Amino acid sequence: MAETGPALRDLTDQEVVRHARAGRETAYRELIRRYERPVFSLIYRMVRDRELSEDLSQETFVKVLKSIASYRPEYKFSSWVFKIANNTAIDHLRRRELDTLSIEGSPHAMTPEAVEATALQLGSSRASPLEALEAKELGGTIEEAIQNLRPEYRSCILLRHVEGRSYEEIAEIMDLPLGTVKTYIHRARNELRVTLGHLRKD
Amino acid sequence: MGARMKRPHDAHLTADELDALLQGPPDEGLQAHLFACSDCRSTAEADRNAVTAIRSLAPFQPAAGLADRVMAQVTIQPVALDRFILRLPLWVRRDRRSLIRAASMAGAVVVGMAASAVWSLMYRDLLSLWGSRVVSLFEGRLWNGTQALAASIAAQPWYGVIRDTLDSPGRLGMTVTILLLGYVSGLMALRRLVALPSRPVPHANW
Repeated sequence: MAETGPALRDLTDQEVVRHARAGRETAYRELIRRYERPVFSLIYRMVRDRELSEDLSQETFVKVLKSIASYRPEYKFSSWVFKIANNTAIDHLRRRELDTLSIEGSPHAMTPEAVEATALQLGSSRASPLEALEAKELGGTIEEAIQNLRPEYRSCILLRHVEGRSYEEIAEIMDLPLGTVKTYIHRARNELRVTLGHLRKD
Repeated sequence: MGARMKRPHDAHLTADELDALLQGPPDEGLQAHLFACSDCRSTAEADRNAVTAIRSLAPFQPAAGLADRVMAQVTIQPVALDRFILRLPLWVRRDRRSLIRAASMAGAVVVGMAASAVWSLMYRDLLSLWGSRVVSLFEGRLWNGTQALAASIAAQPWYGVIRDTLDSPGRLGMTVTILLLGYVSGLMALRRLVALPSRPVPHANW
């Protein structure tokens, strides 16, 4: 096929995936171009660390493209990408929770230095220039309110209202029953109502 | 959604009803309740404000070169089936229902032929009996008819011309080539006449 770059832009996700599976590198790049911003935004709002979000976004796309041959076209491609992105972010948050909750240091640490370094996380202050930039980027009232939500609620509310996904799609992305997704979103909105009300009073 | 069902006027809005308010204008029942209940009105307003603010959040842009970094870790492994499908015309790939229908019909024909072959093998004796009856019935008439047809053709004035033309292998080859060329030209002309649009209207991602 003699389709050029701009022609790929006109194709549906499914068609671009087909080209990628047929071995066209430009199709791989087109898929990344389409989803780099939404995937990065979702992950950044989940983990709130720009550098880490870059790594996790990269990890997400590597997973997506490496397993593109196993992607089933009857599912929405965007849901599949968000599912991998969300799982990558949630997995990281779970690992980090384990690490930071360990007073003795990370259970994953292999050397005494690593144990010491991870143990310090409990007391470390957050004031590097990069973190200051992140704090500025993520410092809006709404961003702060979203930050205070549980990760599962955060995913749901971001997918619903930032990405505009339906409840059914969110259930598919998060591997949760539809009722649970509705409950999470309802609770997230309740929390946001309280947090935003509190911030307004301040 | 629960918002469409009849609701008691004194009960506060449920989660589904609050959600329905975010999707579009409230129905009469909800509107009446919102008018009467200041708690629900402020809850619905707070929800709407929060959701409006969330929807207005700008996306973040990753650092440049993400695609290059990703591609450095990915090995491209072409899938033969997708290569084959991409060789099919675009309208065939897009119009999956037609493709499925055509494949189903082709499948049905193949299955039918296979079933027929199997049945024939299983009932060879019965078939040969039927065959011999048919042959004995029509043999005489068929042979006589064929002979009459051949005699009639041989008596035509153009028969001698054709026989002389096709007498040598060279002339036979030339005639066959001319006929084939005529056939292919006809096919190409037909294809042009019934050509489908090569570029369908692009549609949104699904």
